[in-house]
Amino acid sequence: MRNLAADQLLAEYEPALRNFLGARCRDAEMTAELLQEVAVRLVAAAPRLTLNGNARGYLFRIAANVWHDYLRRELVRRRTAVALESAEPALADAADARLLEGELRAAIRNAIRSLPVAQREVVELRQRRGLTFQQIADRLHRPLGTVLTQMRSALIRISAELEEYR
Amino acid sequence: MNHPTGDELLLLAYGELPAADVARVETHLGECTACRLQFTQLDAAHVALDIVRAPRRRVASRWMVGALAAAAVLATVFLASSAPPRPVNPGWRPTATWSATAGYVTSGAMLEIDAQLTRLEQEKYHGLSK
Repeated sequence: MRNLAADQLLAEYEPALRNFLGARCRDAEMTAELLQEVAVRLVAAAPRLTLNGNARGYLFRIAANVWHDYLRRELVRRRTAVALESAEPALADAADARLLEGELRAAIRNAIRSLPVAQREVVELRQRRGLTFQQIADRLHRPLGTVLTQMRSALIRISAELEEYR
Repeated sequence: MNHPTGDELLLLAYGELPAADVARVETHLGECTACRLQFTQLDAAHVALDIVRAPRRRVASRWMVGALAAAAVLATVFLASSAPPRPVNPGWRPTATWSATAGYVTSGAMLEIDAQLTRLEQEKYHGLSK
């Protein structure tokens, strides 16, 4: 795939990508910034790409990755801010992304451990085994609605734990 | 305004929302700050869970690389030990009766072995006797 083709692809799907990112980002400026990152990644990958008619899927995969990378950076950034504010010497001095990610990872593991068993089962089947929610419902003999509620509750709890941790 | 359900937001975060509903929910998120924040909270926790999962893959791949390297070493050793002996080059002749550097690079035991081998070679190739 040449750069010209990448440009055409971006032009064709820009409105849809803008919708995708606009639904997630807090404002138009951030949407534009992430859209730019999608373009950069597509152009960088273009020379070794053969899309075989699945251009749209590939482009949205890039957009989802860009969005998730942003959320990940945000999680680490907030952790850094708290470390600097609370002046934890080991973290503040190092200001090392790996170290901070390690701290964050430990907090997430604790949050998972503190979940009620029914929620933890759903989380583990989803995260470790990669099962869909319907497959989890079948495996655990629970209605799909129950599984979705348990997963949602687990995510809200984890999010709250991380807020406390921050 | 019809807000999407919590289940729909969860399914969107995990890419399992039916395609027919995606556009409707995404359009709504673009207009409704409360739902967008709710969605972002779920998706951020989803990403946090992925952070925990990520290093396991790296560790697994490191083990895989280690295992492959060990297998390669074992295969080399096995092949080397089971290979037929290399034919002696018939044109080869010893250039000296003693290695000038042997004293520097060998211990006493190795020196003795070296001397015996040299003696054997001299007998074989030059018909020398004691």
